[in-house]
Amino acid sequence: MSDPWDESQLVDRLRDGDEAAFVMLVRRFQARLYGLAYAMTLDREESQDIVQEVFLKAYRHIGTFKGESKISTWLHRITVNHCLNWKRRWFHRRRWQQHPLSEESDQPSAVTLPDERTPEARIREKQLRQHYLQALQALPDKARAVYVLKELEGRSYDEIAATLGLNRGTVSSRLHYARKQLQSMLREFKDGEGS
Amino acid sequence: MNGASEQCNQELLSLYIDGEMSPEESRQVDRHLQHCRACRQYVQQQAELAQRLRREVSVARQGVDFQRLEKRIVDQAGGQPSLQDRFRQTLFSWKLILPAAAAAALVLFFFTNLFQLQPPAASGPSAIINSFTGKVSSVMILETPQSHHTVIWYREEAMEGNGTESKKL
Amino acid sequence: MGPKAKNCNLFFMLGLFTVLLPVLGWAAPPVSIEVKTVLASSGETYLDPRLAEMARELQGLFRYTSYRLLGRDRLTLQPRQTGSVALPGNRRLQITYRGVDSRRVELLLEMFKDRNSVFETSIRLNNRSSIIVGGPRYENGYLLFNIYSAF
Repeated sequence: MSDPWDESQLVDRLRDGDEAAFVMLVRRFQARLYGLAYAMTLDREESQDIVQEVFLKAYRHIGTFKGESKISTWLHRITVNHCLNWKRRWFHRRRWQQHPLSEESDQPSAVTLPDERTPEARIREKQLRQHYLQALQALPDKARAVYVLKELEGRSYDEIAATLGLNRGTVSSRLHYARKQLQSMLREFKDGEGS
Repeated sequence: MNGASEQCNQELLSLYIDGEMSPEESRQVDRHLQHCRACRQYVQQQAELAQRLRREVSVARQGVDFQRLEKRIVDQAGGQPSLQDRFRQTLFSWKLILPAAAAAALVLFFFTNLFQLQPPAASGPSAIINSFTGKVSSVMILETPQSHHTVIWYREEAMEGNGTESKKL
Repeated sequence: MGPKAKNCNLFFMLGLFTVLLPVLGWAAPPVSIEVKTVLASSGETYLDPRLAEMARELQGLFRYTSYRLLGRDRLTLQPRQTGSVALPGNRRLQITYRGVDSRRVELLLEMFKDRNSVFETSIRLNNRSSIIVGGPRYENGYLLFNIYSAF
């Protein structure tokens, strides 16, 4: 017996306006899309709104999905575009700048670090984390999109190229650029510690 | 990709990390890595950075109530509530909620104020830090994983040196 | 006064008592504070039996292998009253009780070393709960102060 929720059947049922299929689509992809949105924006609340907008757009425009790529690729593309639009909006850009991560991270956090480290190691880890998030924020949007699709989603260059409408060469060079930037952050941090 | 790290091609290493090379090219990089410490370090650091990204996202995901998000999305999409949802809506209508909440508030009020019983389990941290100022070299606020006890961890070493620093939260 | 009037008075008093007591209860109860001073170190594995209650918390968060209770001090403070606890290494913790807000005790903690102020922090601590302040080096380890308050 075939899986009633395999991708092609899911898409067919979505096109028929089947509500259960839409619920299944949300259930299957929301956590992944949230992760992608969060990695792009580093904003937990906005990422939920972005995920919501992505699914609503998918719901309205399922008719335009031709089935030439996987539905996940299509959803990823919508998500990345929403994230880039979100970053472009003046209000959010301003807010982004006005709330440096250092302030946010100084609040008591519900998230606790792994327990096997000494408090000194935790302080170091906290500083490293701040450096890392700042370096991630500082990446150009397009390089970050490629980096996130690769490292978070494990997409191949061809899949990333299809998602973002790029060629393989551009995917490769943007990925390399992102990695180089992040690595230099790590090296600066470690050099700073040594001095 | 021979010799010193400056001469190594990190873009090729990226292709290697991503499995985007032919098996023969991969084997060449394998051989190179055996005697190039800088490239080995690059590969290892990239793995660490990728892991860091996944960890950040995983932590953010843990803070999301996906059931609620799903409901929000489905409702927004204009889907009719299911029979089960309709039943829930009736059961928790305001007509019932208000008297129930009033009764619960009264019970809580009497128990917590008159009899000074243990307070209800607080959902937040044991302590909220309103402010922290001082001449410390660093300060960190943590929370224990199980019972959410707040911990202030500070370093006072800077006191002894000349470069004292005032930290404000 | 007939039995009916007596009953009325009794109900009135009970009502008044019921209404006033919580109100009085909110008006600045005294607060009991306990400060436990613990030396945490990476030496020989040891857990002071008097720290049994705290053990799980401490071991869950820190990697130290030895937890030794160095002292236990108790204070009872009235609102706006300040108390002080002497701590190892010529340190002193000054605690000011500012009041109660939403069932949290508002405290101002100020740490001194060699008579110099090291830090000052304003906290709102859950009733019957504690905060751990730690970090200063002492002997072969680090000092932790577990500050508990209840009203």
